[in-house]
Amino acid sequence: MNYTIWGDSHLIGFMGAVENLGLNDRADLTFLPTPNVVNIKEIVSGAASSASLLFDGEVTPVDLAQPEQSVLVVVGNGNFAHFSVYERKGGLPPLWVYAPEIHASRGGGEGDGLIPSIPPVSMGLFRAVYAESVGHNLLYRHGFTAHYFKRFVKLILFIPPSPSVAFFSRQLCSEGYLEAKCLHGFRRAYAALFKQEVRRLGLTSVEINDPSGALELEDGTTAEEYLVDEVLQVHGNAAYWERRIRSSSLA
Amino acid sequence: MGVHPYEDLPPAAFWRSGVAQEDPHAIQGIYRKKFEIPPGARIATAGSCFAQHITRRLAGHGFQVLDVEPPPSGLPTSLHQAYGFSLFSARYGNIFTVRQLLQLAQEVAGDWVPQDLVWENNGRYFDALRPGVEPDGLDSPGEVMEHRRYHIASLRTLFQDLDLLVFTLGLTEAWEHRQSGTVYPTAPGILAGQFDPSLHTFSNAQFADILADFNRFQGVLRKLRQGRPFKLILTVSPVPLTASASGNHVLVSTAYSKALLRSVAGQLAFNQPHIDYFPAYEIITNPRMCSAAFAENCRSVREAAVDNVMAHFFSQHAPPPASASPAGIPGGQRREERVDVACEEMILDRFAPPR
Repeated sequence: MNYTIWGDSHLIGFMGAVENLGLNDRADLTFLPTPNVVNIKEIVSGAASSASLLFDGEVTPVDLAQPEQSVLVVVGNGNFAHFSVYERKGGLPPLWVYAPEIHASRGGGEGDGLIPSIPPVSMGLFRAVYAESVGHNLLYRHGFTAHYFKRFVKLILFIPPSPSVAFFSRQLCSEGYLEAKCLHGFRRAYAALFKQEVRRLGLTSVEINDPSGALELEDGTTAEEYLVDEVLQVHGNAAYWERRIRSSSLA
Repeated sequence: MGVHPYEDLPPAAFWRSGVAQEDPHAIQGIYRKKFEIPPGARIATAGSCFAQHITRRLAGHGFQVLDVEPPPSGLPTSLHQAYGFSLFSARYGNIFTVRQLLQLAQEVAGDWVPQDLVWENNGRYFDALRPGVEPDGLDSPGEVMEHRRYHIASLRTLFQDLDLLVFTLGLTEAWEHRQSGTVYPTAPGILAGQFDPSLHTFSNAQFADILADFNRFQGVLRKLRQGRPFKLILTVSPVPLTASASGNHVLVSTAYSKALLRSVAGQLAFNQPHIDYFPAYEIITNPRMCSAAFAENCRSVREAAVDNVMAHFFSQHAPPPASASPAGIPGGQRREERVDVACEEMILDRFAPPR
């Protein structure tokens, strides 16, 4: 079976896991990191039979299997979904629902009487804000279409993990950096919304691989350290993705 | 005929010339402002459903209407109302009674804690004091409390920053938590929660109570503002009750409630120089309108009627020179004959028996 694997930065660890598991020997895998693919629209429309990958200024062609004979694997949710959030909000986390002007300059930790930097956001409100953009980003931002997705035999979706609520309550609120529930709610809601939008594509066969637990973080980890930790624990962590792959039909 | 005190009164003082023969869309002398709204004055709005019209119109005419809980930038405008955004100066939802307003201010000041605050419906949890701001409810009671903490903290800023509060008095009837006296905007069981006669009771405020509550509210506001002065414009909602639990005919209950509220508003404005009364109620219920002010249901106020009300307001309080709405509440533009307002009270209409 052929596997066409689109993904965001989580592919770093994922590819390592694939190699460790020897999957390359057993199946035909094609990795397509979305930021580096320059001809997405042509691929999606069927006009291109190979992907053009841009690395360090050099373009490398990669042959593509016919979608009708392939499984589509989507790793992470960044480039397909909240990438534009990063762009809109001016960079990496906080992953904000509200405008940046409601910022930590007004915020404080719990119990100090100051208004938190980010209002708490309900799942319903989150969906109301983001359903359209998730759907848009999932399909259209990078040129993907539902038609393209439906050509594949099956979709396997690997959702990245979130940090625990406890971490945010314990650490990030005390720093006045992020509203714990909001960010956790954001991640939780975003994953739920992402899955919902995927299901709405009308694909006949979808396998959603959810993380089994939250990220483990040491006491005292700062917000900036968290970002680094997430990269180490998840993004670039082949062992982590080995466990995830083993729990999926990809293994 | 001898000299008498009615001799030199203006046309507005007589029913024939002031009402029967007067154009109801341009009633001369019906409102004379008591004070100016200075340019840049920070205006807060609150009250019953009718107050939502006022909020939109003030913002639409360039007044600085505060909004301390603005909607997320990605939320479609069509969904603002569903989530309690852009209706008033914060996401408190409709504040139907003065007791409710007082308790809210007391909660902000840390002087009072509402009880029986979390209501459940189908496994979802709602803030009983503003059940309409999260249509899907929240995941847990804890989440309700967290959302409320943020809301209350935001209101502190609102109460401290406002220069003028425009408050619309709506109802005298309310449902309360027996033990604590917590007043709800809707009865338990309507949007969420369960009515329990051992826990909840009906109340119909009386004149003295309403007057005292409003003065107590002002006291709390002064404390929060450390004495910084503020002004008030009161209006009375012309919208009749959807339903009355008083045991009286709803027409009788409506007349009673509106009369009480009008009297309280009038007395406050008469006796306190920083309080003005704006006669939205009278403009809408003017018999010359021949009920044209209301939609087919005889309750919802037509946009044309709201236009008429606000035209009278703006004839005294001229809108600021800049035409664009400042950041905050989106400006109102009349799009339909009847713009729906978010009014939990209207839900009671579902329970009216069929004819």
